[in-house]
Amino acid sequence: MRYGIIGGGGMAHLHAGHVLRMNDAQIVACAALEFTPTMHALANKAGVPCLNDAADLLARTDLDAVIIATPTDTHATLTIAALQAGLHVLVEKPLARTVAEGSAMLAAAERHHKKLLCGQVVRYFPEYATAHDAISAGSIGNIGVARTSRAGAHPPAQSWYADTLRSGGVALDLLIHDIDWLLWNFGPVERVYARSLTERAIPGRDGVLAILRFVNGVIAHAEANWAYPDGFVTALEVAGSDGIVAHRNDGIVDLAMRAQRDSGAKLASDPTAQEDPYYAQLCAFDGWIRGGAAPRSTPAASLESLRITLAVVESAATGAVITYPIDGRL
Amino acid sequence: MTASIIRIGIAGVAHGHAHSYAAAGKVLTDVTVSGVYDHDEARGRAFAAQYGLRWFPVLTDLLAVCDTLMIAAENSQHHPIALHAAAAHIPTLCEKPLATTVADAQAMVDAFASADVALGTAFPVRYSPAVVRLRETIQRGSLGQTLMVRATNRGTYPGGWFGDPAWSGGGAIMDHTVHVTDLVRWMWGREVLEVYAEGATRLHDITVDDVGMLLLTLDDGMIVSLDPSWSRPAGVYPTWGDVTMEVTTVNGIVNLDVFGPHVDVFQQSTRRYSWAGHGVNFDAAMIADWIAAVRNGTPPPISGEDGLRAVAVVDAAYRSVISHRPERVRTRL
Repeated sequence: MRYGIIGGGGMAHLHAGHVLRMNDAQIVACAALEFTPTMHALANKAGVPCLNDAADLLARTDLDAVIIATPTDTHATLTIAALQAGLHVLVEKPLARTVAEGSAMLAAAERHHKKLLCGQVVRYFPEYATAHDAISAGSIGNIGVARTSRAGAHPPAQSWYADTLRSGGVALDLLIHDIDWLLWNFGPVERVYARSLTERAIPGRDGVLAILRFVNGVIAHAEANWAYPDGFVTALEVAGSDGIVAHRNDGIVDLAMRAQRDSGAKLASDPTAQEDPYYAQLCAFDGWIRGGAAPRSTPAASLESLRITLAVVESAATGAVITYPIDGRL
Repeated sequence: MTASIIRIGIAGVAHGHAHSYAAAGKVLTDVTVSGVYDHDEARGRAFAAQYGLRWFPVLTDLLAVCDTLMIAAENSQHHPIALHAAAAHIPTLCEKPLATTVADAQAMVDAFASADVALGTAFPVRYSPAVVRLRETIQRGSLGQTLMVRATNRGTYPGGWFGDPAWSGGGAIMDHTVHVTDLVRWMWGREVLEVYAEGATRLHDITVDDVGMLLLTLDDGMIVSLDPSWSRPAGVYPTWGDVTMEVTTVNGIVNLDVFGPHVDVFQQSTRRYSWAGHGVNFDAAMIADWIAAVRNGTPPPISGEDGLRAVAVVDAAYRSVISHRPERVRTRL
């Protein structure tokens, strides 16, 4: 499989690294307006050109698929152009900046009969997938209430992530992961109410608290926080009539170390790379193109995650409760 | 109040705090328990026998022989008992929630105010050392402005009268909204302006809500989410429940876990994993503070007004559950 990479930042670098580790896969070219030094080094190491125009990459005839890891507001244009060029597309989350853009992307994939996958990678995180399986298997009975949290530092002010018009802010960066996971577990949403710090425009601090009511009756609380000084914490808890499923990412998993400062102590690298969620997602995409099973996210599901996350943003901005009319339901 | 020995009357033993009040007579100096009233004779007599106390079938007889009343009856009984106590001019510490409706809570506050007698609300979590430290930290200002709080007061479904709306007035939202509401009001000195809530009966075969989720907006714009659900599985979860907060401020994040201090206990015979708490006893600290106020004739440490304000938030939450809109908190109907 011959891949092109569009994007020059951290996520592009991460995806490119995983492509290089896969069997029967290669990177043919990279394109970005700007490359980070690590991305440049990786492309040089792979011996592929770094183009400064995505159109030049899409014009090549030696590609099967592209991975698009660019700022959110460019996803739609690049994805539709790639699909038109006859390429399969793995696009980073969120699918797009607006629902209209996302819908156009889905239509383009249908029209050109190409595979489209949005990287809602939490479905490939082992803890989140295991919790999903336990809930689906009925391990904790009928579900009553679910809680999710995702917290880290605010992106630097000069970064495109900090530009809400481009990125959609903390909701489209963090919250959409958990909303996607909640939708995967509990189905369509009936009502959304949220409050956020966004409207207060405090430099370097943002966050959102959302309550979601699902059509099946489940009540969920989803939190995203961009006001941590450092670190990255995720947590989930789902309570049912027969118990609780819970996970936090800040405990010890199977190996941990506290190194003395400046000691140079370092754990041996982890050879079980197939456990990496981004690698697992890429393998699913690659297998799907080759005729295998579909990945855990459909484009329609990713569009729904975008729609509900934007409803959270709208509720927080307006103070309104966003309610969805449900067919066949009073 | 000039009596050297303070005589406690216990009105109702439906709530677990009645045991703390009964024990107070032994723990505190110059305090005695005159007796216990309960509308349920069997329950009242059993409780009296357990602590070697006198059982009173008539509330006014108990009021005639005590200097302060501790109400630990079912939620809906707080109001009628309290009005008797106000009429008898007995300073009264009432279990939370102060009442099941804003009107009842307001009537209680008004009755004690016009009798010029102290009414207090039992919010023992204010006596958690971690809560006191967090309040002090906030007030000293080094955290900068508080932006948002993610709070939980989850628990195990208590069973019994808690599941009967005639006695409880509501479910998990009624039971578990008031503690965190009171902490937020006390720690930040702000009032709750508006409440959005979802509530439902999903985990147990009962007619009151057992899960819920609240989003509070304070009068300075601070936002607080609160999970009051009875979502801890009984017999399996290592403890009854929790009171936690993650506080996001301009200068950092603070995590509070009121019942965090514990050791793990794994027991073969019961096949149970449980927590043995080693924090301080908040109930004892709260009772000692109340008795001191009664003895000195000083204002109640936690007032009936505090109890009323918390009930008003519960009221707004239940209105929101029905209206599917954020609802304004109203203390005067």
